[in-house]
Amino acid sequence: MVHWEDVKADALETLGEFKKHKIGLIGITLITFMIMLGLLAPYVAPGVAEDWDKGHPRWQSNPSQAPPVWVDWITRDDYARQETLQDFEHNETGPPWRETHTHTFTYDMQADVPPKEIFYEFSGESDGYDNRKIIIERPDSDELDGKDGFRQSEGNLMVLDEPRKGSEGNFSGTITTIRKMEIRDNLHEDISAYLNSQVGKENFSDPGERNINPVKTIFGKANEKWLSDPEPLKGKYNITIEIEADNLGGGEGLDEATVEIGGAVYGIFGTDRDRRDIFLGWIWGARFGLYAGGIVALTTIFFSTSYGMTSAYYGGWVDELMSRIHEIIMGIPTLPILIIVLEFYSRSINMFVLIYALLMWRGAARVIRARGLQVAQDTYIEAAESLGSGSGRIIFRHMIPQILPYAVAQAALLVPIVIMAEAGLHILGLGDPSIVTWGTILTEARAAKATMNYQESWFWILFPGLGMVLIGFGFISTGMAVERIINPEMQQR
Amino acid sequence: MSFNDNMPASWKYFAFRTVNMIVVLVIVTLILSASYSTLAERELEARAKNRARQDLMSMEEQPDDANEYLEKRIEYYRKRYKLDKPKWQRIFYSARDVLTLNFGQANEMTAPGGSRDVATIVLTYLPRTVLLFTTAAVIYTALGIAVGLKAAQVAGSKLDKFLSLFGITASSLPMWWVGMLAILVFVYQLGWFPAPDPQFPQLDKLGFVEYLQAILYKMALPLATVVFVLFGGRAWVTRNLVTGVLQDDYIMAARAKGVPERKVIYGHTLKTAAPPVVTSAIMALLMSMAGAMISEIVFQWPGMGYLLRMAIFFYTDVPVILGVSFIMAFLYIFGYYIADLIYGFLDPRVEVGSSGGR
Amino acid sequence: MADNTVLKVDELSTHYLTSDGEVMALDDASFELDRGSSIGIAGESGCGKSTLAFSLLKQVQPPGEIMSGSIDLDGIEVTELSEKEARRKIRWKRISMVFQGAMEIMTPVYTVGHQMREPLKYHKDITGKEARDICEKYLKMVNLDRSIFDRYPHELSGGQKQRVVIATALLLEPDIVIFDEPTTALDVVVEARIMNDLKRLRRELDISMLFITHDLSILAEVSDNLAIMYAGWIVELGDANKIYKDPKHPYTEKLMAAIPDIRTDIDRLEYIPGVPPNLVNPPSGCRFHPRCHKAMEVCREMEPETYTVDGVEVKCHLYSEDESISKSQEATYETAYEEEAASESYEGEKGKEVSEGLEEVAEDEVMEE
Repeated sequence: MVHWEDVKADALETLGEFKKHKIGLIGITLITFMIMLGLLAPYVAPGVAEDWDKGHPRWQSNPSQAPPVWVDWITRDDYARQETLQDFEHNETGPPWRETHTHTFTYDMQADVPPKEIFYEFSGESDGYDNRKIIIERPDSDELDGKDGFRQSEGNLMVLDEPRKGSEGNFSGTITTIRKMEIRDNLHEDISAYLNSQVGKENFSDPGERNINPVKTIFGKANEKWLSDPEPLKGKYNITIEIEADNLGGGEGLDEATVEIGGAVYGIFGTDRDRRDIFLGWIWGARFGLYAGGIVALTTIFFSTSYGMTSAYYGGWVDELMSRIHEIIMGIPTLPILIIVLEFYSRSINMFVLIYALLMWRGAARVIRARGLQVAQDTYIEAAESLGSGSGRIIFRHMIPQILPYAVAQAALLVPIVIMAEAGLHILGLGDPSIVTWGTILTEARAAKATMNYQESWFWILFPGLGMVLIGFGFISTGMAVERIINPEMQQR
Repeated sequence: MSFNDNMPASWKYFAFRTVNMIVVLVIVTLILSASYSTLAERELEARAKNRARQDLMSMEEQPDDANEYLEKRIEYYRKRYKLDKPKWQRIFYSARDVLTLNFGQANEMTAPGGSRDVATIVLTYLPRTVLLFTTAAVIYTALGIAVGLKAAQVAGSKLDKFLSLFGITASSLPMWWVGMLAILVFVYQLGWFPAPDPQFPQLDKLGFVEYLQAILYKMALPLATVVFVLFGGRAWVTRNLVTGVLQDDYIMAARAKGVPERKVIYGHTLKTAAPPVVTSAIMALLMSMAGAMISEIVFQWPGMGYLLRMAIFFYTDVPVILGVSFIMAFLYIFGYYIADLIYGFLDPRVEVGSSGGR
Repeated sequence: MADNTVLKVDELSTHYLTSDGEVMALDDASFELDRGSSIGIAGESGCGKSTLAFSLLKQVQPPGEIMSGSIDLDGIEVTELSEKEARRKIRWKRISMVFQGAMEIMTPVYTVGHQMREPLKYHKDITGKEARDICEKYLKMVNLDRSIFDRYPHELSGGQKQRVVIATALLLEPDIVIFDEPTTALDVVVEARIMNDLKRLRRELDISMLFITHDLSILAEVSDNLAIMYAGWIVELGDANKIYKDPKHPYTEKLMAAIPDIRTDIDRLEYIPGVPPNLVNPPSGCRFHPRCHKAMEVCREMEPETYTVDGVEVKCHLYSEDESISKSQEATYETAYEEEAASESYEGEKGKEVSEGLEEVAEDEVMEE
């Protein structure tokens, strides 16, 4: 019979002991926090794992590669925040079969670091549409206007989305006005054209092709650094979107429209190139990582204890034989086998967990066996034997309770190893494509050559890895503290 | 038991460990060979067909019955590749070949000189891994032991506490992630080091001094990263081992006997702590030759991991995969064997003649 | 100091400065040791016996520190020695120590010979054959074969190890040898043999011996004087025979009663209820009062002085010449005795615990055989 009172007292005592191991206490706190996050992932960030595809609508109106929000708090500069503009002035002109709708939004830009992007969303019914353009009126009334870029006219700065022919029926859409990668070329040319006709290019320092940041330029002072490193121009900007469409069904179609200002900072951990909120993916990373690590740890406790105890208890030729087998299992190189199976059979995370569960117990088994040999020599085991207890009874009642803490400590040390390995597999292209882990995020960062641009991607690389460090620190320090508590004289090997 | 009585027993121990190591190596090689056999079969079948087709194409005059000829050639190649033999025989033969260091010819991959010899290919990549990871292993082991020893002597001090914290943190750092951060900061932001590039400087194109400079410049950042990530853990483990010994009663007894502190530390303590420290250092050195695949990819370092990755993903070249896997397994098994022998040599408590489970 | 006195300890206090607070492991200990005589120091574990031993060697483990008092070793003031001086002048040369038998006191990776030779090498610069001869002489003295010299510690039995340690302690012919639980962890037969050897060696070598143990029955055979320690204090000090016959301090009384005597039939073993106090925050007044069966009201408030009664020094209010103290009101507060009496079930449990503890000890002893 197990004396639950004793078990409880032991547990409380161990917890009390923990207070003396500050690092262990930090570790336990970290683990608890990460497990809570992982468990709460479906509530905190529902559906993120399914929506993690590139270009999923869920992320469409986020800024791309925006640093975390708290950068705003810790730096002196004021960063523009994500903002939705809903109030607008709606005008219609032209005949009913071909109306021209204009929506004018006002954005008061007061940040030192201007927004990263401007999005326009609308919906309606039409036989077709085309010729959308965006006119931005700057507080300094710089005069730019034109089709396919800037052109001088009527005191407006105007940028055009590439003209698109709409199809009949319902339409809705997002005009991503300023997508850096897509229309930067045009913008550069147009700005150059403007400069040549207006003030002369020699007054500006030219950063060269493709190095102009169009949104920064829109929100920048028109001085000599306008193109290379614009200074923010604070004040009210009028953003007018003009859409020419056929048979708009009485003009009711375009009542719903919004402009989304993409913040210069976004979310707790910022966003990646495809506008995904890194923090939301990060939470799921904790969930999947702990899932894999947890299962491998549990199976390790089971396998290593069964193996180590059997070997230690029976001793003699059984121990000898099992030790030989163990050496063979130890000799199997994990990586090639793992890669072959994942590459040619299945990339599911469960396959990974299975292989690791089958291989990882081997290290812990050695520790358990050594400890088991010590315990088996203890006097009361002999006493129990001489009193006629069966071997199963002795193993389960007398030996396992003494051995289990060691197995738990060993298994705890495995969790970070499993999580790091899983993340590494993504870099190899062997990660489970249906989930999002820290490895997924880091692999995407690597694929996007994020390492080449510090300012716009440090957060993209830093935080997923930091997740692994936190988990690693948590489990390693806890494992160490447990080992020291259960055996104060134990030497760390 | 005097020294002379000891001799036969230690020879027995040596012989036992040696035979055991060889048996383990043979069985592990068989397991590896079996694991890859299905893949190998698939590749060889395709190759037999390809070769037959090529033969047909290269004939000056097409035979009357092209199909029959093709069949015959396929049969011929299948026989040559031993595809007509039962699977277990193929597993056995390929294991035997690898164990006799006859790694055979790669299917598609080539060494820089154009050779398809697997041994030649491996020998192109292995030195680069050794250059980076074994150098790093030497540095971090030496540094780790030195710092760990120092920390143990001042246990409880600020240095010691910092080392514990750093040791735990470093042990939880994924090396390749630290590599990504290092590249982000030191290569592209600060511009101190060259961008990762799988091209290696060529000795014949540069002078020796320039070649050496180019190599050092190229390996500086990866080397610093590996040392940074692994040194803390090593120092911490050494520190724990030494403090463990320092708390032992015989250290107190030695001090009471009037043994000078220097002798207590470098004699009694180090000699007692030496077996695990030395054996783990040896394992680290040997295992470093297997490389670290993902870090090699991140740093674009064309070593063993890089080779294995290419062999699996781009070529599915089973002879190369088997060769590299065998070398990885061999390094571990041999390292363990050497470590065991040295442990037995350093620690008189190891029962000579036993299986050595410690 | 009389000519014959080799060691005079005066009001020695050694405390451990831990993060939990200052542990007052040894407070105001005073005693003398004559050349060729022996003193036994007894008390429960944690009472400061070992701290006393290490203080004499000036080798208190950090965070321990000798706070005050003096140790006069034949004219040398030990407390004032630097670490280096202590190592050269007194450790092993003047005072050597036989460590607890339960401890692993030999470095596992060195041979017995290597470790035995160390004191000769570092104190007398004797090495090589000469050193070996000396070691073998002392090995023979403790009834060990000379072949032991080349063995490793793990090849020796517990008794053999302890004999090696004793031989090593005698090697430099020191003035004083401290025996710290020399026979714990050894079985009874081996224990008896070693004790007999010690008695013989003391006659032959004319050294002073200081025995530290929790087992009073051993001390009876080997010590001339006896010091009883409780919670860092020496509570009774004097001629061993006198104390055995007529213990003065209530704690000594209980300790003596707890020695199992096979000649008398006893229903149950005496034991002292309660646990030894926490020395970070010791009880006020007399440190023993919470467990004392003769506790008085004054014991809680005032630290007792040391009184000389029949040539025995006792630190207890019962022996004060001031009758207002020695015959003060009986304690009104609860001591462990009354607590025990208050609840029968509690007593039952306690009794069980102790008897279980004793069984364990007995079992351990048997296992060692």
